Amino acid sequence: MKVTVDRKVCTGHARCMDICPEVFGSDEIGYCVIANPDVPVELQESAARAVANCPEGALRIEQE
Amino acid sequence: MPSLRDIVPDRVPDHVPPQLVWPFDLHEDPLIRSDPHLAFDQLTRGAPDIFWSPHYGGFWFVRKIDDVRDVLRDWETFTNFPIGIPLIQGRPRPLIPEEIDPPAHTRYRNAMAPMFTPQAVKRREAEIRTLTVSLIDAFVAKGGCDFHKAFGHRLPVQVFLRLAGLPLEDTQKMLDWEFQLFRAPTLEARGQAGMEIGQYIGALLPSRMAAPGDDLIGHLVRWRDESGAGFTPEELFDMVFMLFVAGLDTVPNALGMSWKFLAQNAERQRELRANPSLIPDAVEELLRTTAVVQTSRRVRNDCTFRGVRMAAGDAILVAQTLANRDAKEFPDGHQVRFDRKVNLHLTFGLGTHRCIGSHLARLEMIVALQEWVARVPEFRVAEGRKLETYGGHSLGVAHLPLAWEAVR
Repeated sequence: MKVTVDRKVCTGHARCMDICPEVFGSDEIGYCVIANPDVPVELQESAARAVANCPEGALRIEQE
Repeated sequence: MPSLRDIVPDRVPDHVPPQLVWPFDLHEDPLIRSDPHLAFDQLTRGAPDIFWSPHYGGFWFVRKIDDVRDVLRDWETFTNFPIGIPLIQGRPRPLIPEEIDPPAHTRYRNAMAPMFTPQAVKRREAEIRTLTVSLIDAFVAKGGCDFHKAFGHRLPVQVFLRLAGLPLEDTQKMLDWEFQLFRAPTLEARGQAGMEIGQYIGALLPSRMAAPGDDLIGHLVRWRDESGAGFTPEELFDMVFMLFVAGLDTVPNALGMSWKFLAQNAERQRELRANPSLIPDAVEELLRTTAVVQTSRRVRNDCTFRGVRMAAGDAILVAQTLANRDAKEFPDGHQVRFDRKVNLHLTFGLGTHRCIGSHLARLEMIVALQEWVARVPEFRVAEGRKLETYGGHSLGVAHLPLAWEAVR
């Protein structure tokens, strides 16, 4: 699984880093930077939940 | 108190077709004053998706989740200046950054944001917990409390004082100002409180500019953009004023509405007491179902939105609480469920003006709920007084007397 963020759409709700901090990190103003784009199997469920909870729809799962 | 409706007359402008007119009194409807979230739902049943309420000078009412999302995000069509329905008095300058649109907004936002990231507020967690526990310790043995006086208003004020490097001794002064500014019976008294807060900040700033501390105000004083330019004293004043007023009414109302729900639904407390790890998701769900802020926008230029003709200057009430229950996103939206895996509520808004204090608000609510569940026995609304609530742009409960079996 690979995840991406559209930084033009992210406004720093930070639901992603709250739900799956191993994959989703933060820049200095709290906007999402992907820390771990190639999601290991054991984090895929949590990463998928993070993507589904982005209020701005800024996150995507690029490949299952 | 004089009715706001006497001050600002009803209005239906020519561009509003009669079939879209649906009266909705967001401030004074009796149902709003007893259960505002239910009122928003019941009073709009059968109304057009987007309607015009003639009250308070008239305003558009938007509540479907897709419409609310678009209005909140599209700052080019729907400006944040000036906010508020009715528009009671012109402020000398816009609130920074709430009433500023991009591109000017971005500079303020980027300066303030580092203080409010999840990581930054997490560093304050131990302090928030200490404040929470010491407030609870003061009343838990009594078997009851006036929730707002003892806790709901006090905690956010004390957290703010600590963040701003101000003494906890100013707590009562801040509580008085907060009450006067948002709830005083006359507009004059509200204006007076705003002026006094302004004088307090005005007296504070010179020393903070000369010797900036390790706090919110010091951070703004030290901030520089890429060109090395900082903020003018006027900008600093406006930003500090915004910080003073932004969290002082909203977090207490969120705590009050959440604790009211838990007091009236003891079995939901039992769920959390049995499994405290549910608390973060429970807070998210309480934020959804008791959304406090119903924000507003103004139409920037004449436009057509979802087939509705809107004119420049029209006010729009954004009913976030109804978007949060829209069956399109939440098929069981009227149920309070602490086990939602996806919860795309709009309580903190969306887009460029998303609530910058959201992570601090969440943390305060999570810590408060954790410590209440750990320290206070099952609580209920104390017998007697009917619970009166506030309508308007920040929904809340006026008084919340709680009772429990006293701990020996």
